[in-house]
Amino acid sequence: MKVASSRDISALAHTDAEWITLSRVETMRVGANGHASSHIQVAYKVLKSSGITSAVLVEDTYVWRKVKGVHGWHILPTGKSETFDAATLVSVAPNAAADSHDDSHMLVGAFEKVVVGSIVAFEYDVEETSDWAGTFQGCLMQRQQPVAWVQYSVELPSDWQLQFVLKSAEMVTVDSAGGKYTFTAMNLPFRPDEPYMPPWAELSRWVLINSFPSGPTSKVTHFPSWRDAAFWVDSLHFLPSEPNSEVTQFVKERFAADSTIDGKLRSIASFVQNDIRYVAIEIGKGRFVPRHSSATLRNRYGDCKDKVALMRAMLTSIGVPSRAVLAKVSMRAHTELSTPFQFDHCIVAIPDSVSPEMATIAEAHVGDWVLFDPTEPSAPFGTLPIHLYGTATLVAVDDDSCLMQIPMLQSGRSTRRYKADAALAADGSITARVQVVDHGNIAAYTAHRRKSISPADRVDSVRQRFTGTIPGVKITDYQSGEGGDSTWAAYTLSGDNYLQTSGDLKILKLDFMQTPEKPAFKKTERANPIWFGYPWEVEGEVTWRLPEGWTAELVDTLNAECRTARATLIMTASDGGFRCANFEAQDGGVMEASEYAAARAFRKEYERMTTAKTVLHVK
Amino acid sequence: MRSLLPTGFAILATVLIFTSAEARKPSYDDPVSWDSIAASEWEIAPDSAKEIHSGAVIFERVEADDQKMTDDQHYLTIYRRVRVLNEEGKSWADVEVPYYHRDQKLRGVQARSIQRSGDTASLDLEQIRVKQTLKSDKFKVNVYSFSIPGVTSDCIIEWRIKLKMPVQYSYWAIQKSIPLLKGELRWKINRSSTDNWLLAILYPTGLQPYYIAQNLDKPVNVQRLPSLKDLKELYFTITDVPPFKDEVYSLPQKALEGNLHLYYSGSTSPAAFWGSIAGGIPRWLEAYIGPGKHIKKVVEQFDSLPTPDARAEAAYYWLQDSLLNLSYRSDADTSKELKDTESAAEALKKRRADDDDINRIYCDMLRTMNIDAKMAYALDRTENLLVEEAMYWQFDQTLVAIPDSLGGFKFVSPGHKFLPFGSAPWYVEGISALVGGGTTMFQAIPFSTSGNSKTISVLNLDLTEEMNLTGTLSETRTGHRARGIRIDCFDAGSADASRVIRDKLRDRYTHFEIDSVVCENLEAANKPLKVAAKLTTSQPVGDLVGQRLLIRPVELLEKSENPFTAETRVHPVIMSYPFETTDAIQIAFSSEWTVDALPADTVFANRLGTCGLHVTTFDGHVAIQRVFKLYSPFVPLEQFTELQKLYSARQAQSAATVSLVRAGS
Repeated sequence: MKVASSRDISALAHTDAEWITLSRVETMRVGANGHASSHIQVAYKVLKSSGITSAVLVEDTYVWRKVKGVHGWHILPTGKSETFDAATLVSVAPNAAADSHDDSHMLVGAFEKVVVGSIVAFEYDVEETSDWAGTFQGCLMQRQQPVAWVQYSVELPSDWQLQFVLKSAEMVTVDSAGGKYTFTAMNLPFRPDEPYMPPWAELSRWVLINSFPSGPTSKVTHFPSWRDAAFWVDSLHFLPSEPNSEVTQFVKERFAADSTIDGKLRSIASFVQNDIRYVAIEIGKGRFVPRHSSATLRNRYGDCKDKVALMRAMLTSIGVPSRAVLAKVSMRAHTELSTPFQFDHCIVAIPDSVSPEMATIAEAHVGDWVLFDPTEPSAPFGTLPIHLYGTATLVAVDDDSCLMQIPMLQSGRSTRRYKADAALAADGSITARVQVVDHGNIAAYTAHRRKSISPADRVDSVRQRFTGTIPGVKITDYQSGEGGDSTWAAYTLSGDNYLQTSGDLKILKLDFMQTPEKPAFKKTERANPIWFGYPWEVEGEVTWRLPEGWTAELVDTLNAECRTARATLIMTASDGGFRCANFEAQDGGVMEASEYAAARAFRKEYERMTTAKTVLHVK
Repeated sequence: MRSLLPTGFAILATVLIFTSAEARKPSYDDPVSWDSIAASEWEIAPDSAKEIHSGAVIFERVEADDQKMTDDQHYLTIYRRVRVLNEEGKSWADVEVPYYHRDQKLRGVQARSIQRSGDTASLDLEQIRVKQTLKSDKFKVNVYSFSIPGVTSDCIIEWRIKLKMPVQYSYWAIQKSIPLLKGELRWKINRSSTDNWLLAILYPTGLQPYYIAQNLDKPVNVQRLPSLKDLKELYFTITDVPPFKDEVYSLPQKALEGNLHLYYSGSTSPAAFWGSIAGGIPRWLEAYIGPGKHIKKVVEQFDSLPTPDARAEAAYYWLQDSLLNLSYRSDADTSKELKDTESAAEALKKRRADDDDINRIYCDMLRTMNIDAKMAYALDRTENLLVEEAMYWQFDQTLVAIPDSLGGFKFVSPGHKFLPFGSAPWYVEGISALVGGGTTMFQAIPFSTSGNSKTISVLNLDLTEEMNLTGTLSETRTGHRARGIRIDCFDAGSADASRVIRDKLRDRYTHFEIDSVVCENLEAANKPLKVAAKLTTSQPVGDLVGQRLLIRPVELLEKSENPFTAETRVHPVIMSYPFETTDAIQIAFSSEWTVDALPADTVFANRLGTCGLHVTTFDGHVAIQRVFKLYSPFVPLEQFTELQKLYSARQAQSAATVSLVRAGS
């Protein structure tokens, strides 16, 4: 506490920082039995009143993870101090939703009278008594608030090895001696919230480790290699994915009408995805061991691994092989750490050789497999949820191909095309017939969303899209449908006072399908990488008919481009009016903060496109 | 997730609740006996006219049994059957047992799904989960939940739960988020209050059951069973209740949804009940104030002021400035050991009190100055609305009612920090307050005027060569507009006030970077709040079309959204308070530019408000003045179209365009 509170933190002061971690020292010891015990000392200084609620002790607890021996101290700015009363510790269930049942809790400890300028410190032990405790561990070095000093030490049995990854933590120094590894970082500055950043889960600075004995081991939960991890996953899924007579009979009766393997496969996929509702039951070993397929079939609910086990059992009953696949949705998995515990999701892989049609699937085809996520109703068979693209997965096969990277989705695989024929009246009102066609991921998402809402709400959601740009907009003659991997909608929109006037000038916004964007990159400097979002592409054309005798000034073509995105706006004359063609694409990549100038220049031009106007003249 | 939890109830709220409930599975004490399913129930299908989309509650049967009420035992049974019609409707199969009281015990749970084929899947006891949502050294809170097995997109689900509680079931939320086809409630009442000595003293004429049905298109049918003379049960039924529609800027859901209140009272009428309460309010005040000599001493300092109004105002601000308001603790206060005070004498001696006690002291100060002030009680309208017919205490705000010259009252509250004299907190404007000891119990608290809460901003900007704008902002806020910022700055701490104000300015002036924020009168409730700052855009403004620069000056301010674009509206609109916004933007440009065109002035006015835009040019400048006034924050349904027009006119101002053209082109 003395050392922590005496650190010079003046260099870390930032006007937006809410608190500062003066010191966090965590020492973990892994036993030969795989159990782990940690000793943690942490001290914070509160910089703003909004930081008061963060200067607390928070630790996850499970049946096999306990917090003990909590001590705490609080020094007020006046110099007065108090010690922590462990009787005030509170255990809180973090997830109270009715469709989620889990046995994890958060242990929370806090002082009542913390104020700006307070220094708060805690010291405690964490005991993890599962035999996989030492397998995958991590220390969050920093998320957003500044950190003066953080040190994470891992002591292993003498015959153990360590794999580690410094995730977004290049500044961490690593020392190792005699089975003890020490990771240290200091003076980590405040990281502001900025527009168009990757999620904080990706930016957070972590030291992640995987440890295991060097020699042969009888423990199934030691993973020196990815093959070991894949083998273990397969062993967990083996029995639950075996079809029993109940499952076999159900498949036989339910999918009797499908005469081809491909047809049955797709029907099974649809059934598991849409007829088995998602309910998470993460209690004890239920966290990673799936329920037997027959239980999930009977319950008509299950989590991701339950759905995978059921689908695999059903596929087995029709002679289609498959594998469980571990994936990650919260942040990217690290291939340097051969542990299955860094994954948090489960999907299915089917060999592309099961039918000729499988080979034609593009988006969900990776290597020799077709992947399918049975938990995501907006990603039917043949597509994948967009957040899985570009991530590493673990296929439960006993060979070196088990670790598989899903390539990034190309922007051209998730597209929206629109065409609008618009007529401007002399009174400034507009009428337009609009057609929108989505392909790929956007199509799957749009189709799912349309099915989830009533027909009236579908029309209203289209109308709401235009209320900011077309006063009093009305939507009529709305139609929609699906075909193959695309979905479409067509409607007529009309509105008054679309034309703006300024004195004698008549000003027309070129493309009403584009929502005006506010300036995003106002600051001249940038701390964080830039990410514009998932890959997609939009191409559109608005053909305008103007009143008799009216002409439009042609505006210069607008171009905007940076490493991960591009956009173009082209205006050309046409009979009785003009045409405005718009194209935008982003590839989902991340630009470094050092590329901010280019990103800013792109956004500046792009924002101009979304508000682009022309001046009309009346002869 | 669907649950029976009263709307807005948060299990993880920090209110500490003691419970002796053990984390054990409930037992069944009734054999399972499900109602048979009629063919007509299978025929329920999506129907736009009936607003049936994902499903419908076929019936909900509630039994509230108070027969053992005098032993603090109440039994609640809920039996609900739902027709599931699609994927979204399946979520009704994930059920959280409602939580009413720390000492409630779950006495039975049964649930099942039924398919058209007749196949059923029943809930096993093992499938009932207990979540210990909160646990500490002294207490724990357990919540039961379950997921009904076998649910498909075309099925019927039903469940029944039985609870034993130490409190009465008092609120039935009849209206759901999907249609309710039939609702029934059986209230087995208790008339034997004289068995309980406390109740016998409090209610010598006995406790009577009362009910109030609200917000329903059709009346609730009531049967008194077995007879009116020998009343043992009240049986309520209602059919075809449409789904509750959530809309922006509405009253709280509890005040809008169809519901039934149940309660007991010893009074014979609301007038008698509230009369008794109102009569007691002066006695409560006397009990707090005590002998009052300390109050007399305090008010002597105002004797020299010429009028009662002047004395009342001076006393108001003296109290706000002199007493530490324990309901608003700054960092410095939090770190001290400051106990609440128990009496007016103690409060004045120690110079601290909570908000309600400050109001009591103020009321007595006025009375000592021969101003016939009275204590008043109101309810925060963002939480719920007062139900005058309901004979139970509902209030959560204290006020002081000062008679005005028209025979009514002005409502004030020095206990609300930074609230200026003459104002009531905005969240009690527009509702009724219970005034103690007056001839009329309920008095309306009027809305403030739009002129009370103003924001006046003046932007002086220069257009640079790079077509950026740079300059200064000066902003003045009054009334509720000022108080909101003062409270936010107080909560953040004095060291952080600039940052809070800077963030507020960023929200308003979205195109600008804000710097060098200076604030005046931050803690002076009786003065306008003034803010000055430097503004810069880091990117060129406007659109270049050929040689023209088209600037939309109103867009430099916060985006003028129109939140009222829905084609229809079910509930009246309620916003916070009336207000006025006046923005004056002046843009200076170099001789490189001349004014090409200016937008026409616009004025729109109706009974709800006005908005106007005026643009002029002079000597290398363009000057824009924009005004928006909202006269009333409450808009009844029949005036919704007028509100839409007002906000549409305001939104249209964003499109107003100034055209500058390069000189010589």
